Parts: sequence; structure tokens; C-alpha cells
Amino acid sequence: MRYMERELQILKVNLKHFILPHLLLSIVLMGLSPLAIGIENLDAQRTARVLEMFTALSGIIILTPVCLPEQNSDIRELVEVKYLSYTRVILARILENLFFLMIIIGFYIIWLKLNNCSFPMLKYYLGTLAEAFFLGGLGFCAFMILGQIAVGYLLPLMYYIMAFGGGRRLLGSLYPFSMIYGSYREKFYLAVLGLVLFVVGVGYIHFYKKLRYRKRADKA
Amino acid sequence: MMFPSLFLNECRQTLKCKTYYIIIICMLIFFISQLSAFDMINKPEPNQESYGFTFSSDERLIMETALQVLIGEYNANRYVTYPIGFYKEVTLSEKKQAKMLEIIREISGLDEDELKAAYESNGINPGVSAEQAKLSIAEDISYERFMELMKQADKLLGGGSMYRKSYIKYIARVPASFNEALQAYNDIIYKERLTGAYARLFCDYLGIVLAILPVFLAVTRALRDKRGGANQVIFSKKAGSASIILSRYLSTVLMIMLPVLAIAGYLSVQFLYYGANEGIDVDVFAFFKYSLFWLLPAVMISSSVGIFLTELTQTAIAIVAMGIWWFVSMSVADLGGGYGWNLIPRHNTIGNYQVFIDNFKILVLNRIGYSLLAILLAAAAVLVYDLKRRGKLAIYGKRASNIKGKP
Repeated sequence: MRYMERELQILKVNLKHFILPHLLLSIVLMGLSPLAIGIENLDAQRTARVLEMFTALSGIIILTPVCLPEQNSDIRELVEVKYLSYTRVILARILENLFFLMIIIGFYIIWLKLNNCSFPMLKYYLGTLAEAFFLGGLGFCAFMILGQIAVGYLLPLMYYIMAFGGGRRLLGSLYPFSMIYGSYREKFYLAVLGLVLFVVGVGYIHFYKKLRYRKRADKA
Repeated sequence: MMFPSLFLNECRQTLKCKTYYIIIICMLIFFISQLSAFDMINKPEPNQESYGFTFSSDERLIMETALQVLIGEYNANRYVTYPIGFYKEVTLSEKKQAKMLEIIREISGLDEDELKAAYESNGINPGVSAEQAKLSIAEDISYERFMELMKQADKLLGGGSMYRKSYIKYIARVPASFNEALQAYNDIIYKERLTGAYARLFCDYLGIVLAILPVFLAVTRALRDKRGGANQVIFSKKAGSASIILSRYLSTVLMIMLPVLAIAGYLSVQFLYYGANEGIDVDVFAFFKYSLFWLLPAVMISSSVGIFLTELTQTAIAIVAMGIWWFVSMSVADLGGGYGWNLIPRHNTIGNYQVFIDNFKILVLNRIGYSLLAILLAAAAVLVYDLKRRGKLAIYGKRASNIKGKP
């Protein structure tokens, strides 16, 4: 029970102090989208275009900055001396951010459906989520390994730009806008690769920290 | 004497920064994937099967085609628009439909019943050509009046429609003739000395990434002091705020432009070699000239937004702001050379010299305007930094903490 309390506390602090502005930004961008993007009476192809080229970008906004608090040197030092495993803190944050991402994308999909757009709901939901998960995973992994939030945003955005400019020819099985062409195979690859990127990111920080502690202990 | 040493120090710091090398790699990957192999132009020969297509400048044909599209959309009350590049279907209210009908009637000279009859008997819709639709334009309508009416139609639809000024000239697509193709070829060889046309395409592509990449370097640099907890130390140094911020800003701009100019140099050598083989007198400096004129303002803006917003908030919000600006600019960009006030002016074709010349004035204003805006933002960043040093803005960025009265 105590264990759960601690985890819940992490989630509460994460929501209140760290992830809330990012969630609000995503919600505002999606809420304002009808001003610029048609979201009424769309056929399946046009709906896919909106979801893949616009909605999935929320993955970068919500999942990349999981460890943003530790960019502040004071917080970083405090976290390092805590007894609670930092890896567990990160995992809890990732799951919470992912949960909110799923909800936001879900609501947007329902909104499209209510606006008389015709598309396969579940397939499109999972496809969009897979892309957002991959984009966020790429940002998260880059942020963890290189330690700079700017790089965390840079790599997924660059990937997006490459997809914009280079198209399927360039990215092949990792082309993120495949639903426009009625293909879901790419989404599966993106989801798997996204998971790998999260594992690599968390694994890196886990072992890197252990190594640092060991070095410090040796010195002491 | 403080500024040169600070500037050199900032350049050295950038050379040690991982983000900088990642940016260069991204730039190179983008360049190689999009532009590594230019398609060299060939002189058109008589009796070729096709010379491609062109957009007719015949005013009557433009009016007929636009009217035909408009009637099709009016009858279905479903108008296609692309306000920021994404498809948006607009359905007008009765009142606005009535206004649209007035526009159609003035262009066609037909009343409502005649329009309906024409629509039903000729199958007018956006997929049917003006010729097939047997449409005629009112005898007394001038092209100027037609353009005014198109502007009104676009306004009724909320902008981004097929009747907007930048699109209407592309509405009547026709096959190009041999003479037109030859003229386009001669323009590239003699007026643009080959490299001018290719340098524009180079800027068209590189402009896409250079409007966003510098912000990452600027943010990384500005956040580094916060991350390392070095703000207090730097604040107490002798150097002036202007020297500190401007040395950062200018070093960011220079370090981003260096690889761009290196690629421009590489392409210049390639074209020089090609020109010597083909007997074409090429402009060796075209890639450099275009890079400085077309790309530098975008680099300046992206860097200044990065430095200003990061100094102000001590967060990475500049990336989001620039990301949104980039997204909108890309979405509304006219690929054919209607540069307007877009941060990312596009010219996604080799040649099309006349369009470039026609829009040159607005392009110059655009680039100068953005350069001035960048300088203003950099000056604002100096001001913010100076206020922080004086303790009038929060050191750790969160402005809310300042409101609470903390230093």
C-alpha cells in the first residue's frame, strides 16, 4: 500500500508541476484545429491526413519531456541522492504521460466521428497512437542519451520533415503517413520501434546512473 | 575589445556542442535525400511528344475555368479550401450563398434559372473542363473586375480557396508548346546563367529546414547556463549584456551558415565543371548570393526567436513557438513562387524565371522585413537579459516567481 502511495504521489507531482503545460498545449492546439483544418465530413483518406500529419505530433509534445524537470541542476542533484529508484520514477511518468496521450487522441478521434467523418475508428486510433508513440519515443530516447531537451525535440521533428519532403520512397517501412494510402503495416513497425526507443532510453539512464554511483563510491 | 573575444569563445563553445553536429547531420541528410542529384535541363527539340504543361495566362480561359469550378461548388454548396494547407470543406449559409450567386451571375451574365439549366445540361463540376462545360463569360466583364469578384468569393469562404489571388493564375492548366519550352530553356541558360535557377531550388529546399533548425541550437545554448547553474556567475561578470547576448546570437547565425555556405561551394564547383563541359557560362557565385539573400533571414529569425524566448522564460518554449510558425508557413506556402510574406518562400521548380522576376520586389521586402524583425528580437533578448542581471526579472526564468517578489 505504501508502495502505491509513493507511486501515486509521483504521478500527482508530475501532473501538477511538469506535464500539465504540455497537456494544455496539446489540447489547445487540437481545440483550435477547426479554425485551420477541416474536420467535418472528411472521407477516410482526408481523416488520415489530419490524424497522421497533425494529431500525432502531440506525441512529441507529451512524451518527449518526461525527464524535463531534471534539466534543472538543483532538482537533478536532489533526485540523485534520493533513495527511491529514478528508473521507477521515469517509468511512472512515462505511463502517466502515455495515458493522457491516449485520452487526448481518443477524444480527438471521437470528435472527428461526431463531425460526420467516415473512417475505421479503432484502426485509425491505434495507427495515430503508434505514430505519436514512436515520435515521442524518438524524442525521449534522444533526450535521455544526449541530455538536451532541444535534441529531444529536434530528432522527431526532423523525422517528420523528412517524411513530409521525402515521402514513402525515403522512409519505406517507417513512413509515418501510411494510413493515407490505406496501409497499417508501417504503424506496427513504428509501435515496436517506439517501444524499443523507450526501453533504450530508460535502460541507458538506469545503467548510466549505476555507473556514476559506482564511480563515486570508488572515489569515496 | 570584449565582444570579439566573447564571439570567438561562443563559436568555440558551439563547436563543442553535440546539438550543433546533430543539426549539421540533419541538414546534410535532408540535402542528400532531396537534392543530391539535380536533374539537368535538356534543350527542347521540335516534334517532341510533350513539352510538359504550363499555366495559361489567357485571361478569358482563366475566367472560364474559374467560373466553371465555382458553379460546380456553388451547386453542391461544398467549397474546397486549404486555409493552412490542410483540406477544409466549407458549407455556406443561405445569406452567403446568395452573395456567391450574385458573384457568379455577374461573371456569367446568367440568371439563376439559366445557371441551373447550364449546370444540369452540361454536367458542370470541378472535374469537367471549361470547353466541355460550354461556359461563357459575360461580354462586358473586365479581368480586373473578375479578380475583384474572385477576391470577394475567397473572402466569403474564409480564405485559402481556389479563387484566391495566388492560386487563380494556376487554375487553367494547358500543355506547353515548343516555343514556350524553348523560351524557358533560354531563360535558364542566358538570363540565369544556369546556376541561378538551381540556386533557387537549393534555397527552396534548404529554406525548409533552416527555418527551424537554428532554434534548437539557440535554445541549447541559452539553456546551458541554466542547466549548469552558471547564470549567477555570468551575471556578475564585467561584460555588457549586449556583448554577451549578441555574441551568442551572431555565433549561432554564423555557425549555422557555415555548413550552408560549404554546401553552396560544393555545388558551385560541380556546376562550374558541368558548365565548362557543356559550354555554358555559369554564375559561380549564384549559390552564395542566393544563400545569403534567401536563407540568411530565416536563420536569423529562427535564432532570434530561440534566444529571445529562452532568455525570457528559461524553457524550451521557443521550439514550440517556432515549430508552430514553421508548420503554418509550410502549410500555406505557394510552391510555384508566390512568395508573399511567408517565412519560407518556396520556388519548387527549376526555372520559372518570369514568376521570380514578377515577384522579386515582394521577395526582397519579405527578406528585409524578416531580417529587421530578427534584429528587433535579438535586441529584445538583450533587454530581457539586462533586466535579469539587474534583478528586475527572475533569474530562474519563471516569471511567476518574480511576481511573488522573489529575486
